[in-house]
Amino acid sequence: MLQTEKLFEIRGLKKYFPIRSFLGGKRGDVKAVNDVSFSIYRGETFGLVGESGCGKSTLGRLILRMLEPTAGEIFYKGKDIHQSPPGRQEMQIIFQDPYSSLDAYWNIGEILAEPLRFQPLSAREKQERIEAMLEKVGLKPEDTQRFPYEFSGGQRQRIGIARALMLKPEFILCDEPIAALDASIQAQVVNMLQDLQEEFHFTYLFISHDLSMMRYISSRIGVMYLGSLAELAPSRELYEKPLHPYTRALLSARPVADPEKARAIKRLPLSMELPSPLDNLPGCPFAPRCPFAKPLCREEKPALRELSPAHFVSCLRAEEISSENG
Amino acid sequence: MLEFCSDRQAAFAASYLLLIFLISILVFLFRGLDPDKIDVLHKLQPPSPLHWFGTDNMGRDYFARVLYGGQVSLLVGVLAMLCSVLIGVTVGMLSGYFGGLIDGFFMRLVDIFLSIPWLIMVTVFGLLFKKGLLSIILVIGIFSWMDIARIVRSEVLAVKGREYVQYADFIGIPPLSVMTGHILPAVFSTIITASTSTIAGAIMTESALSFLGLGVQQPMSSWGSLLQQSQKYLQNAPYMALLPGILIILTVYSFNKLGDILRVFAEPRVRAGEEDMPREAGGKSGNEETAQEKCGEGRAENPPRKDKEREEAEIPVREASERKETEISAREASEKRGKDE
Amino acid sequence: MSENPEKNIQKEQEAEKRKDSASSPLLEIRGLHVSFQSRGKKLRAVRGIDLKLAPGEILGLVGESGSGKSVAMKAVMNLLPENARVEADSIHLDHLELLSLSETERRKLCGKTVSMIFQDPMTSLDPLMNVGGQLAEVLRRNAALRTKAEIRERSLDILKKVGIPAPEERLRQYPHELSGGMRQRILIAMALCSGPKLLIADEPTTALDVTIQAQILSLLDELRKEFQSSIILITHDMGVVASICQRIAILYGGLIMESGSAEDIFYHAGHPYTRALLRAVPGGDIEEGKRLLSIEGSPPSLMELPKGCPFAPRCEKAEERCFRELPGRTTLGEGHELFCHNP
Repeated sequence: MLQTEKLFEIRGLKKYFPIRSFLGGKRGDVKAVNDVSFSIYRGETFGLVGESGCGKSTLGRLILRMLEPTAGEIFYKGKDIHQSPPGRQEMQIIFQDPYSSLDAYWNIGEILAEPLRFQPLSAREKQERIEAMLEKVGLKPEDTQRFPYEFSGGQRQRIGIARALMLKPEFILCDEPIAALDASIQAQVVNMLQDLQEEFHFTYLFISHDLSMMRYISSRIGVMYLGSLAELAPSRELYEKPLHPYTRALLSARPVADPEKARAIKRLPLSMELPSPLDNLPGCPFAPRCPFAKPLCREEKPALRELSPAHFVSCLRAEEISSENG
Repeated sequence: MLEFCSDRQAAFAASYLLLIFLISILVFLFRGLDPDKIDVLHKLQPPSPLHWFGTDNMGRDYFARVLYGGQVSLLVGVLAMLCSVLIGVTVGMLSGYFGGLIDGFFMRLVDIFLSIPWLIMVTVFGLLFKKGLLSIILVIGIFSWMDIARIVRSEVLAVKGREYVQYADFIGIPPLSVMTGHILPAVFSTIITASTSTIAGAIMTESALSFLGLGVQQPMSSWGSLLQQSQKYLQNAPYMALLPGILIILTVYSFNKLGDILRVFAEPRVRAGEEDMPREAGGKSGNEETAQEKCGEGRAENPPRKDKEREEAEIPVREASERKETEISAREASEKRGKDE
Repeated sequence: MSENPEKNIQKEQEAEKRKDSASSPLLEIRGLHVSFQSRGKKLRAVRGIDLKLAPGEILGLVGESGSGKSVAMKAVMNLLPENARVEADSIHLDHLELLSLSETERRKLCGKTVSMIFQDPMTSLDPLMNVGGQLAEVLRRNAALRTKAEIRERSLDILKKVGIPAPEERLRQYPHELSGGMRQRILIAMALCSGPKLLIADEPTTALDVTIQAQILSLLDELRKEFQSSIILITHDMGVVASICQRIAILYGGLIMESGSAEDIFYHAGHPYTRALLRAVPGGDIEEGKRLLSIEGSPPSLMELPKGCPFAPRCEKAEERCFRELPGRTTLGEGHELFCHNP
């Protein structure tokens, strides 16, 4: 692995949202992020995959300190971010929804100037930087005078990206930036993000539910299920040798744009109900849906362990399952 | 503009208000009109070329009195509105934006104010303070901001959930700037609508107060006080009640109508454009959605995925929008069932 | 000019098909136009599309947002808002010409033969009524069931068919207590109550997770086999149509760009748009680190549609003619049609 310098190290991160009953009493917690530990290396694209409600967005926001964790530590360049918080200009975010992420009452120039607010720059310098950035994301400098409604979804997403890049951050959280876009536009945005990474050496944390797209983008992928990491591996390894039954299920359920292959795929039978995140299950969170689950799985919570170099999985029966199913 | 003119009621309301305002402001230009000039010889005269609206029980020109009364009524209406909007918007913004204890405090305050029978409070205030225009304005303002605060609060909650506000918070824009820069423009149309109906309400309240004798004091007149004085002469001079009454009704109606119209205009083109610009983007905009929404399907394709836990945490934020959705969905469901038949 | 002989062949084929009543299409749309009047502007959502659907077939209607895929189907179902104008040469449903029927007759017919399910199951279910109540209502109207026991039995039966575990319990639950996948199943169950010949599914899986999506798709396929009903699947996802559709129509800018069997579209795509679309979707086994082939530009605005082919501004093979005139129909093989000057 080329990237060896850890940009982020996350240890035992937890975020619980209390659920209150009608009268204000506490009914329990939603364990959105439940004891997650991993590292993000400088210059890589770390992909976080999972279904809705698995806590991937919450995890991303915890890393950016948009939310306060319930427990756990996050180290940025070796320093605890709660003791010595990194400057805001080092981290940025790209949102999913190109409609709610830009203020409809501001023109593009104002939107892009917002992150520069605390920079000691003259109005002219700001203007120049904004225009240069617009060109970088494939828009025109004249567009500063236009309003978001004059742009299509794909173009708005470009504006959102430009805003994130204004401060030349070190790290960018991409929170499902392509989920709301049409197929022909998705590829444009993904390619642009990759070009920009090559040019500026950003580190991305890329959150998505689209496994196929993830493979293009990420160098390593973490699969999340109900608040914890099920599997973590370099992306090629994850696709070729998935170890966790959930990863297998996700891979087999992914729509393939090829009728013959689609028919040939054997889907892993999953029971369909997601347990409520409110339930406090003692064992593996995936056990109730897992076709390979044994009684032990419902009792003992598996830890994330390194099964082969750089390939982590949290499944008690990972070895058995992979030897049985190849 | 086209729509505006095509709506006759709106055109009427707007031109009526314009006229009333102009007259009220420029009334001093009519030199011959003195509302306080007493002429005991010609009291309670019916309308004539000399006195267009007749004269009152002291022989004062009723036309002049109605015009000057309008001045007072409108002044009270507008200033009381400003006072109540100022309090209401501030409370609503702080409450919605900061939430937590601040929200709790302000919302309980609203409950308290709403549960006080204001007429009694006004009477008490009237006894405590010097009777005059200013105290009437303040009293009306102080007792009419609660609805605005509630409306603004719920709007702010919805806007606060938008990603551009989250972003501004994230990069460390100070709360006051976020509120004035991002949130205020988004709730502006609501404020406009609320303020026009508050003017209408304030004019009504002032009339009611004056009618009860707690409002404007003689010799100054307002529409309400004119109405009050006319009681005794209903038998021989019914026009004295009729004229200020009609003016109050028309003015209140026009302000309410104006609110409906301004709402459309205060929502800037940016929003309207968002709807009818058919462009791409995951079906979240474009005409397809417009079409679907018109079909009553509510949110069309690809609602932005919201993680469950965020939804849980955001329940209050989404309340308002969800209620709308529920309405739509209920309608849709019944429609669908109708179609299924 | 070159189209003429092919057209004749095609007409003959059609004539042959008509003789054989068993294989006559369940739904046949010819020359469907839909436009909306919005703030004094005319928005042309569908600009003349022809579609045919055989009994027991799954037709995939693929297109990006604004391509007119949903609008076209809603026009058939008469579900469009007031400001929509629908024109068509003919819409045949189950041997009846819909255009010659009155509004009420049409609604009745559509209700009996067609059911529709939408993307967001939550907005299609009544939040204040439990699942049992909603099913009962549909059953009472459509299946003429009267007694409580009958309705209950039938409801349970249908819920089992759509693969819902513990159906007795579900009957008592309210929509918000169910997961998205479960709600979509309930909706499908409700759609099946009337025993429809045609099921129109408008992005039924877009709001769902992949694992649930796969289950819903295979459920649709099973139901088609069991009930012999036809399905029109409206989607923007090439992956979704690949797994269950027999025939596919690709829409763009309110026009059909290409239509044919799944094999035709995926392996012998003739239209540059179809090919570009297939390339832009990440496949299963392409190397990481390779760039995706994107389609530059963005779809046309429906208010200022270009005179020629709507895809021309983004097409790499576009010629001068493509910008000038709309392409006509080219038949590539049986049932494989193409609208392109320059395939």
